[in-house]
Amino acid sequence: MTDPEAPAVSTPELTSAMPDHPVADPAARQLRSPDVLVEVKGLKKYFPIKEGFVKKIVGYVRAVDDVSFFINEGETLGLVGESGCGKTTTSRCILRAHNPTAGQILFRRKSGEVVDVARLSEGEMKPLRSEMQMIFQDPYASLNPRMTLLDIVGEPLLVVEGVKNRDERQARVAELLQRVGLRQEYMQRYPHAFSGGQRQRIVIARALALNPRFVVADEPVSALDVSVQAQVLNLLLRLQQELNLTYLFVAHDLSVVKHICDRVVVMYVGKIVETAPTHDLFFTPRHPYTAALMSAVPVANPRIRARMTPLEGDVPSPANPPSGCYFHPRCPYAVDKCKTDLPMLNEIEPGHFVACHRADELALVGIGDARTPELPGLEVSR
Amino acid sequence: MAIIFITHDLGVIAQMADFVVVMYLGRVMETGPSDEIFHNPQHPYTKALLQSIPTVHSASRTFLPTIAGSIPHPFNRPPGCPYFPRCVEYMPGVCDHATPAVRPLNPTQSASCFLFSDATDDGDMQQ
Repeated sequence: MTDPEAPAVSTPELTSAMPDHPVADPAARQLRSPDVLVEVKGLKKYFPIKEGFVKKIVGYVRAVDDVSFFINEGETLGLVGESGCGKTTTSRCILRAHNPTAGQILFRRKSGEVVDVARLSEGEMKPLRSEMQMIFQDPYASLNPRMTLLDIVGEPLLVVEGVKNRDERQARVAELLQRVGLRQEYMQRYPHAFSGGQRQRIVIARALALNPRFVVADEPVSALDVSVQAQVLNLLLRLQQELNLTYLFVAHDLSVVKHICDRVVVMYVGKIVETAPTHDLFFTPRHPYTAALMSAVPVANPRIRARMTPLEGDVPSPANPPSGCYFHPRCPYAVDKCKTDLPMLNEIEPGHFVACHRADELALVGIGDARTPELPGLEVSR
Repeated sequence: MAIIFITHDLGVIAQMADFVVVMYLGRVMETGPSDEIFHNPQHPYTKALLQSIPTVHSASRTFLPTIAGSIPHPFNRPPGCPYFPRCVEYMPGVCDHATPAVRPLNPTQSASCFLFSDATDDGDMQQ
């Protein structure tokens, strides 16, 4: 499926697999198990680099490069990685905010029908949009300051469900506000009257307006204060329990990811390096990049300091990735093979996928061994 | 070189700072060496803050202890101690009447809270 050696400029799939070329074969739309709600297969998103007066395409930024993973219904899948690794692009492709360059995004609809989101037309997407919704990072930028809460939260109802009756819309919005812990009297107010945490609740209420089954949360608590972050995380957990929601949780804060996710996908320069159940990933990482991320988690305990082993060098550009394994220039364990061969994502234990040539020989340390979890005076688990 | 490191990320504070000042709504709540702040917090706000952060070692997918309510708008400050409406140790008639001054608790640590100072010790009156 992958051909990393092919010159980026002449990628045939850029044209042949564009979403407006439907694939009729239903056998190609097969989910790996009936529990799966979303399955991404070989997803690619290349952005053209244009130069000069005629805007000639001189190359491609491989923002997402052959990414495959699945999300079970009712679970939270974490998507982590450094800035620019493609996690936001991946999540936006799933919602078709971007048109993918290649690959499949299979989604099991309420009716049980499996559709390939990557190949649907805009018109075919519309009924699907109510089943998948998004929570944005910055609650100060994602709410229109000139709309009241009633208009903001009620807009999806008006646009998609055609709830034209104002009283009915008000009743629905009141119910949604209550669900996210806001008072329904706030309905006539504008976003400026609310704090960051309350705004994020409004964003969540808007996302829930159409009873979605799948919610993409792109860094939903990164912009929030510590005390508010806990409130919003609790709210997301509670809503998941009440409504059987499935979350794709995009984040860079590993403490938050560890807290809320069932399974985690780690991305590096547009590719997946490791996927595993949360506990396995944090305690027994199998990829050197994951282990490096774990060692960089700042622990809120001044008695445990300076365990960090910072990575050398910078993240490579996705427009010009290194040869072989993209991580080899920064990897302390790289051997010659890593410089030439791109490792495939292999399942080394049930549910634990790693893309590393040396996954079997390395003894990597997660968060458990290097740190003492229990210390007097600090309540670490509640 | 001396550094003032301003952040809400307590993990980074624990890794970076020698001495910590915890502020709330324009007032100092507690000051002390990092070790005291993280292992022996005294002010109810500091305690609640430390409990509300998820850490990589806390239990996954559990509800975190939170601080009730939200930070008031600076134009709408509560009277008395700015933290009293959200405080679990709020003493009616004391915390909402006077503003506690920052008082030393031990040679290195200080806090502004009526749990540790007399109700007549109004920080605003002395200014």
